[in-house]
Amino acid sequence: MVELLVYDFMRRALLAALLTGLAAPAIGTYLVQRRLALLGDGIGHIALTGVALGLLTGRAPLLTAVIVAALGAAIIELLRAYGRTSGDVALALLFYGGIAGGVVITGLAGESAATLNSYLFGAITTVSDSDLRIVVALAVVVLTLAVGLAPQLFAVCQDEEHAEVSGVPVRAYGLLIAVLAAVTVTVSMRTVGLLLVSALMVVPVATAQQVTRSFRSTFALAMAIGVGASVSGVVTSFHVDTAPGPTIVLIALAGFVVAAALGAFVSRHRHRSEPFEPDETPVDTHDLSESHPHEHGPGCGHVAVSHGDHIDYVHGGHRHAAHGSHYDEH
Amino acid sequence: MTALALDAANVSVTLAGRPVIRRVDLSVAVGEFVTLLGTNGSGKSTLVRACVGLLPLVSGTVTVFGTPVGALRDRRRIGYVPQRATASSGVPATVGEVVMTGRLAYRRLAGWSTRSDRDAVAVALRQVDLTERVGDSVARLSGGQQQRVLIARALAGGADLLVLDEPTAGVDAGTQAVLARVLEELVAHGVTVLLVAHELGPLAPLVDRAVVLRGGRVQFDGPVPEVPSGPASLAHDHPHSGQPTRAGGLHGEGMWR
Repeated sequence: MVELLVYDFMRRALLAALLTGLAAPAIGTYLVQRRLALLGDGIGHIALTGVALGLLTGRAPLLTAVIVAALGAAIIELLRAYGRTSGDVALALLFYGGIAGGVVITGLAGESAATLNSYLFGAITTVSDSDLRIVVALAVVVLTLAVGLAPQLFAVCQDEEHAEVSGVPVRAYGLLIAVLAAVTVTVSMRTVGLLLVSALMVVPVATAQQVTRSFRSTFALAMAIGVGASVSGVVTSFHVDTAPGPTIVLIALAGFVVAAALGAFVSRHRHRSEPFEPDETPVDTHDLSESHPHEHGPGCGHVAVSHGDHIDYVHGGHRHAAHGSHYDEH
Repeated sequence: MTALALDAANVSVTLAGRPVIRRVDLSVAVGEFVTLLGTNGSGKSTLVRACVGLLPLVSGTVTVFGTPVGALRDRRRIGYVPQRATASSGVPATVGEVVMTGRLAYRRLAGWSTRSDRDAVAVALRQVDLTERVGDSVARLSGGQQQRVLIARALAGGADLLVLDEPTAGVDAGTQAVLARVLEELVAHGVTVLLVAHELGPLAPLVDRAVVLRGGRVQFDGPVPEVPSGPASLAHDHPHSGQPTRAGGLHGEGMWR
């Protein structure tokens, strides 16, 4: 590992992998919580058009990708929030448009499929100093907001309606999550690649929740798993000469398999030692009404309430039902 | 004049271009316990969602404690329990974490929870008998317990007006009894309650006034003990010939079971 640091490109690639491994699962946790796990995938496709525009205009593809991906993410969120189009259909529309636009514009720019591949599946040797500066700046912004606004983002993703009634600007937070996801996608573009970036957003979260029961621990563990998978993926890809993106994703998926087995074992052990969930407090359904000289009946003056096959009478804040020679509390 | 916690006047709401609420008046006085009844599709949930500001009005106004709901800055005064089958989401969360979101109106951006936030959560959980489950994942709780988590979340905010959308739907008798006890305590402390229900069960004795919706219009609005035609009118002692009216009393399908 240490010997890899003598190479400039590996130092840049490992730093990019570290930041990607932290940022992708951080935003991914909110996406999974909102049940929008595939949003990152859609944004990745849209970002391809941004990359192609960069290649066509001669500007840094990372910057044009950030702008186009953020715009696309905002449109998806607005369609989801205000439009009649459901979230998945809105996603699909931009998803196909993004990849088609990316391929056509790349062709117009005179670039080859090999150039596109480095963006689609990551290429550690291509992380330049200027790329790294942008990646570091954007990743710090993403992490600061994802951690700093955790109470608000958690509340919005947990129950949007409740958050809105509580006075939280849910539309603004929804947009923020979408834009942060777009920024994360482009930050991860060089390491994991646009086609597989969503895996680094989702798989560490899915892995963490096999063994966690709180949001806080899921969030922290997912980031740790993300860092582990992306750094070890970059190192492995250097040694065995594979594309970094697929290597990172396969390592992350292997982690999921191990965690799922561990989670199943823990769950089985827990059920064996605690076979039944502590249930609701049993309710005595046959409470006798104390001293009851009054006789209920039509016209007795008490409100009558139909209760299954009989009538309850509302009496002093209680419901009384005739049962033989006494009255039950219902 | 009695102060109103909620005043909806001449409210109309459309969903996907279809009128769902038609010129409805609904007022809830401070400290009052009002239940909104009606069969499925009568517009109960739509009306309360419009009342808490979640749906735009086609006509009319909604004021909460004298302020138009859209302009109400002190949102902590409204405790809303939406109709939910579950309190969980796509990621595990503990009971304590979910209830803490009820304190959001008190929290600063990027701030840690304060001692008073944690105390309010502890009190709310005690009120719904879930203190022991604070560290458990909500997904592991029964449906009734998850409803209690949602109610605790509304209580943690210290609301003056509690709006509950079918909290008793599909929950066991134990939870309904706990809910009745919790609401009784809150009403005793001056909290105003607007409860949407299909079945009142053990909550029936707490209700001051019932409003019955049918087809997006108010069919009945009156204090339950003053229903004019006497006790027999509330019973299922004759076949259903229509929806409740003031003259005919309350005999909606299963409403009072």
